Amino acid sequence: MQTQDKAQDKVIRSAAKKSTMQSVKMQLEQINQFMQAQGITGSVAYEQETSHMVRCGRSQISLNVSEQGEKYFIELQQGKQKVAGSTTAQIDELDKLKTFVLSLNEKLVFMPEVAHRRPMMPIAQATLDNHVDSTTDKTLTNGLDKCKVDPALANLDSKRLVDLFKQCAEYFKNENVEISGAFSAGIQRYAVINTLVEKALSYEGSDYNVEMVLQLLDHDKKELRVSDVGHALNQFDSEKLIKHLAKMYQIKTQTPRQEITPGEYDVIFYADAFADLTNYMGYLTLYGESYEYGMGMLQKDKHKVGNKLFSDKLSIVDDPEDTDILFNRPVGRNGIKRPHFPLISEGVLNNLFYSEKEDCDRFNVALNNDANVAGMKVQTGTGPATFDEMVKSCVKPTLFIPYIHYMNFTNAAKGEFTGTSRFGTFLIEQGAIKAHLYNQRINDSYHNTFNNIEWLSSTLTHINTSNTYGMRNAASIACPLFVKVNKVKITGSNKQNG
Amino acid sequence: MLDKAKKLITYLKTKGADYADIRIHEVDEEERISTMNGDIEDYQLNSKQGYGIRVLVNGAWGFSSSEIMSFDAMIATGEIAIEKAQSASDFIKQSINLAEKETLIDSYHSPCEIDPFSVSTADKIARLQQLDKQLQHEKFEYSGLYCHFYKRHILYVDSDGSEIKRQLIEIDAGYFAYATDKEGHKQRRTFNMPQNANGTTGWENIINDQQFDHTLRIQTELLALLDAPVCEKEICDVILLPEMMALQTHETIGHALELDRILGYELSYAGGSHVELEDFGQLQFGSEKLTARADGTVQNSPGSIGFDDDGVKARNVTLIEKGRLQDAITSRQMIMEANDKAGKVIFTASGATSRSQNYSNLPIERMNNINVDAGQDGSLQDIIAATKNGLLMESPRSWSIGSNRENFHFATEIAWKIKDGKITNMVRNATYSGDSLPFWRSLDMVGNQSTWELQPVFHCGKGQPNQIMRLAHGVPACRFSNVQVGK
Ligand SMILES: [Zn+2]
Repeated sequence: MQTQDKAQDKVIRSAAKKSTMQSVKMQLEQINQFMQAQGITGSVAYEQETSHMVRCGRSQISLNVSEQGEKYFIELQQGKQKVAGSTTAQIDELDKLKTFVLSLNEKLVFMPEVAHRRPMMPIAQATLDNHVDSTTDKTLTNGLDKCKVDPALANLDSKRLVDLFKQCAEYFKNENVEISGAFSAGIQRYAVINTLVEKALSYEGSDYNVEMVLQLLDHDKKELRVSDVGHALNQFDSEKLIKHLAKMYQIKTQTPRQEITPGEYDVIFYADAFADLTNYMGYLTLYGESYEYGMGMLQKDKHKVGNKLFSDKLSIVDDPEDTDILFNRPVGRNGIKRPHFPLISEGVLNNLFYSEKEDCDRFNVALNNDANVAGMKVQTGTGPATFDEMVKSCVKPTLFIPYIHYMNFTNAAKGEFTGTSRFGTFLIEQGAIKAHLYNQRINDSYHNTFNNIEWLSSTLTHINTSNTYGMRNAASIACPLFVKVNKVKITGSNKQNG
Repeated sequence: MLDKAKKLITYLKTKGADYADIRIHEVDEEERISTMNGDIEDYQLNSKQGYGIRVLVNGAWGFSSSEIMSFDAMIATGEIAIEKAQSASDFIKQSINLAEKETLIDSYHSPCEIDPFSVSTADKIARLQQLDKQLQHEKFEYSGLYCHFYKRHILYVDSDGSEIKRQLIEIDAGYFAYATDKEGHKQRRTFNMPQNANGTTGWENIINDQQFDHTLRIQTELLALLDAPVCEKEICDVILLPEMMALQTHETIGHALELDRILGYELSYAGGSHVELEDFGQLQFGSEKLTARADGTVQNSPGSIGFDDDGVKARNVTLIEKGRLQDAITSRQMIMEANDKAGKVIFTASGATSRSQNYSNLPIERMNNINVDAGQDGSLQDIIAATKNGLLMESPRSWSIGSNRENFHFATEIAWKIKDGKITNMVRNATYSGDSLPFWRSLDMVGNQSTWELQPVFHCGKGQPNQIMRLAHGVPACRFSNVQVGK
């Protein structure tokens, strides 16, 4: 793949030789100085992504793409008037950016004043300029810039991505299965500055995420899935993923399919499913903006920070210095320094994220974080550490749900949600997997789910939570491998057309 | 730019591409204005420029995109696409073949009377504030509206000799209002400005006096909703109004009939489909009252773009005729693959629905206008009058669909109870659920043209990397019998 490296190099060099993080910061500082000189108050943010993705369908590569994107986000504020905009530009196009700033500034006069709008705040400033380009995490304790880039991911040959699916196909070559999935890897960078300070802050990180699905053609097209997420290529272990798929394949082909009656069941959620539940619950619970608007599941007159909301087995934290958390950024894209941030401690609500200035201004509350770059960790418990131990632990009939498909809020105010299980729903009883089930529909509430936790596994794992909307933004939840929840409401299955 | 594009395509052919195309977004602008409680909450001007290059080498796709507009960068980006295709071709079972298409030198312009980008910022803000004011009420905590204006000039050139220029304008606009009900929970009414299928897409829609009717209706409905009883659990007939019919059509006809999904290309993310290749021409998908189509030829719609990103001219494809499944949402690539897999010709031509969100994305099967034909069962009043025990439902509030689109659970913003042919009262927190095929087979009344409306959708997500697509559903009011509600 020498030619690929060359071609890739050419573009990356033609764009990137000019845009090291250092040069981006210098450029932001130049625009900032230009704005200051013009008497313009405002902020400039820069985002850049390099993404490689290989997608597999019907046991062949269906898509192999690379994307380069660079964008500048500008916000200008004069008193209580504000205007915002974004543009694509290259690092040497300072004049283009200046022109864009001036054109936005012309719009500013047409913007009506918003009475509750507060002045712009200075972004956080580091005490030392300490950007380090390194393969490991070398953020200085008093520094705010961060570079955590694995060069192996930055200069990835897409052959490496293709190989995973080839390897999987080889493993299952004697079975009548089809392999599909996606493997994405890349780099995200951002930098911010505003006219109340002199120095820009930056973050630069690499990540990969992969998911692989097996469709069992001889078995009603049943599906199984594995996934992985990491920040460095050496964390990726294709054999481990294939082995896990093989194990699930064995269970699914050696147990009978069974239908269960709707009702309440004890459920063991695999990390994928529990991370999804946590993420969605977080939208309705942990975002200060939705709390203020009353759009979440907490009502201001009933629920306050300091109240016990959930089971005392549940603790969730966001901490940029916690090495269990994969993509920890010291500073948000809003320029706020991110502190150690306990969200739920033994079921008690500790903090809410306040990240959006416009909303915080409306309610006159202070910004305290940036939820857009947060990384949550659900603390582990004392429950089973491995799949086999988990199975053995179930005496009474228990459902195993690895994944929840298409979760959505049916009634946000009550924290009610629905979604269906997918990728291998099992019935476990007397320490053994007795049957695999149709996909089951859950209709329950986050209040119930997070209050009825029986145990959390003692093993911690990472689940990808980045959506691929917009520019690359690595995100994951660190989460126990399994979580057992009692009395989950199952309302039906896909047996009808399943 | 055309010369550069043509030179690039020639170059890629000499470098081993069996097929190549480039899509250049020469202009890609977006102006977003939103209000809340009388304030201009957000004003944004976003602009981007870039291109995506797609090549076929050794039977596999390669794709690469860039925002550096120089010819050198285009060459380098094209070379990356070729190398991507080469490494992809290392693991394919079946070479990609593209169906025949017409070579076109053509153009398309969205029908537009007043280009929203030609209207002054001051005028736009003044109009939005006027509508915002009209919507406000002392009982509402939040109300407002949003207008997103889009303008794209896209140049498409491919190695088959096609050169297509598109100038697209779209407006995504709507209202919202939130208030607290008697239980202390938020209720909302929203309204996406529908599109006149035979009209135009410009600023003229926003200054139209009809907007005042909508703000008043939203206001009245939300106020009544606050004290309305909760929807009870029962099995009854449901009548879906166009916003709800659009969601129903979108999730259980549109996504279920994307051919790449049927073949299994979306399994690891969005899911599969309960539809099999053998079902085409055979499967009774719905009752005889159901005729649905993928109609890219609707005059005015965000789903009408003239030509898809394979360079195929928009068509009107009948998907389901009198309940029987006939065709799918297709591209040049997928119809060849599906026919090959089935061992017979199921699909005769691409449905011109291969589309990408942006220059940085590879096109995939996307809905254009997935419409349901108006029927013979009279006006909405006629349908209500013919209903003994039913629920009239409107405006999606939440949706969750099985991974093969085989079942669904939807919540609506508002509903009205019908008893003995009359609306008796409004209900809140209404939901309904069902299995897709039995549900469509229970379709027993289809409203006439007076009930048919084109509902735009600006946020349909699919694919990896995820692509958000603009499309629409032209749908009548419809009645379905014996549906589970309130569960
Ligand atoms: Zn959709």
